Amino acid sequence: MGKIIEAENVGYVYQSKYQKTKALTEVSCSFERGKVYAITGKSGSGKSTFLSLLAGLDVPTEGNLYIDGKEIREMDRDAYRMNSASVIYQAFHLFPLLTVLENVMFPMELQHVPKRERKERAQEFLAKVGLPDTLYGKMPNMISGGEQQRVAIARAMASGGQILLADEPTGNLDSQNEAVIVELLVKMAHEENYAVIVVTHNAKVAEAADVVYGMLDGRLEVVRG
Amino acid sequence: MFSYIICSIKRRKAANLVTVGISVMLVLLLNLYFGSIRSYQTQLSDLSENVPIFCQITNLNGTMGNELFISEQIVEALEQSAYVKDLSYMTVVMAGEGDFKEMEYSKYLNLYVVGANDVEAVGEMTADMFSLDEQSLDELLASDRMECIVNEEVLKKRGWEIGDRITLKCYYYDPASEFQKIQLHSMGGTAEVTIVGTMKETEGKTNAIQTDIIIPGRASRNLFAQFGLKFFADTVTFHVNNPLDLNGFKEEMQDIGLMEIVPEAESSYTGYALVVRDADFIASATHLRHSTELMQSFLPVVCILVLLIGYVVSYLSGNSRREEFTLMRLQGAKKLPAAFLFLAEQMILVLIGNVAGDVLVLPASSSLSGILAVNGVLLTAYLIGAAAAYGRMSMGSVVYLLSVQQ
Repeated sequence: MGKIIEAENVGYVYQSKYQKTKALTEVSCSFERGKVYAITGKSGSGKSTFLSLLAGLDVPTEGNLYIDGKEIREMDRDAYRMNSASVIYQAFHLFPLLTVLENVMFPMELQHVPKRERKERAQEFLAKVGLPDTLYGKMPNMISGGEQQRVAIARAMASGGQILLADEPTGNLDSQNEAVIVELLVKMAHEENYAVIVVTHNAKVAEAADVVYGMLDGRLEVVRG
Repeated sequence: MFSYIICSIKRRKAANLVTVGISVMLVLLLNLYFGSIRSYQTQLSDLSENVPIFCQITNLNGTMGNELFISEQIVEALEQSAYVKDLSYMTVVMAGEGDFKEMEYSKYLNLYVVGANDVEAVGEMTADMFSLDEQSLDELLASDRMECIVNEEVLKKRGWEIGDRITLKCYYYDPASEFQKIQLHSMGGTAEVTIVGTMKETEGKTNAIQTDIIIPGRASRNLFAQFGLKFFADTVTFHVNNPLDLNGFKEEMQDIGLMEIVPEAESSYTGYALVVRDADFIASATHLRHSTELMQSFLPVVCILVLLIGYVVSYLSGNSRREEFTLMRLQGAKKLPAAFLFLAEQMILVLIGNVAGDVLVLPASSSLSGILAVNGVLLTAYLIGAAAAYGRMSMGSVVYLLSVQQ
């Protein structure tokens, strides 16, 4: 299996008007399709910064980050997020004005998929994450946290990319829903061939991962893998 | 992406209603503003009709407005001037019936014959006092026919009838006479006039000129010409045709030979000063001009106000919808198209408000250009304000916006 993401001595410095803060130092690692990666570490260790770089929301201030062999600075990073990588968050981040079904259809609308097709595919993805069709017409604030996170995962699938980035995806969930979401993420990697990269504090999530990295003061180390 | 706008318009009812309501209010207020300017402009352009400038030829010291000697050259120049309208003139001659001997004039000379080009020239008489069978009074007085209207009492006393052709021997007032010694002179012959109508006696009117017979103004001028005499009008009045060019008017009056009144001048019967009653017109026009200019000077302020309202409403709306914008960016939507989506939604709501406001205003507004001006100003200024607000919203990085959301 080829490397889909490769980081070479990646560093990142937050620069404000009065001070510079080094968030990442010489991070080198790689990620493959079909595996679940967990990045653990304390708050402020640089996990979420690294995830933002992987999502193309920012670019490294040092080193290089390659996505499918292409340096991220040379890429159209909006197109990368639209077609290749999706991010899910602890706070779910669903469109509050769209129904469950419309939320999942949205990435395909950006890709100009015809309406009928995107509806059918959205229904497929929602079925895959085990959401009953009675919820498809509901607004996000009318369903539970676990259901919202499943909608977010279905929306990530809908973009058609092979990279799923998750920032504390179980942070707001009870243990039952947590187990469901972890199972879904593992299934996406192992059965759908996604590269799933999860930033987490949660030991159970880390346990389910194929590879575990630890982040300490901006430096990444392999914990298990 | 536009299906997102439709969903948003459908589902954010309360917030959208506020935006539409603000837009309707702005349409009403802007209509009030532009309507006021339009109203002042209309009043100014209609001022000459509503507050006409009346002019009268007087003697040099301004003490007399009738019983003057006003030369035919002045009357002709006024007739040809583009600055003059509603010109009224009249002249009075004395006459006696039949071809009597000149030395017997004191016995026969007992008819006052007035030549006038319209009824207003004949003192306090009104059109309803006249009775004509085959033509209108205005038509007759504007003509040069040797036809006349006779006072009912005179007609009865002399046993005349409508259709009779009467012979008059006329005497004119001599302008060469010295002041206080005006003399009558025979015109030198008789004139044949056909009676075509009658008029009632003026009752209880103190300033009325004694009028026994009225002939058309042009006919009276022809009468003077027929005997090789110079015509003089007794009274000349008119209105200014284009009061907004009063300076041009006054220059032309000077060229014609009409001067301003000189109060210290000696009294005379020669009419060559002009009284222009323009004080009311000038006061009204000045007031309307000042009001229009004042209102127009506020236009930039009004535009900035609408722009600020557009900015504030869009900024508040954008602030409450940052999460949606961030999520769109996260899904791969580019910065400008995502911001444009919110701007387009805002402008659709403003447009709906505009149309609703126009519908409310339409029954009270007669000016389509006014409504278009309101819509143009509102949409342009609001668009600039809203674009600035959403442009500002789109400035933040997605990472920053996400951290704010978290």
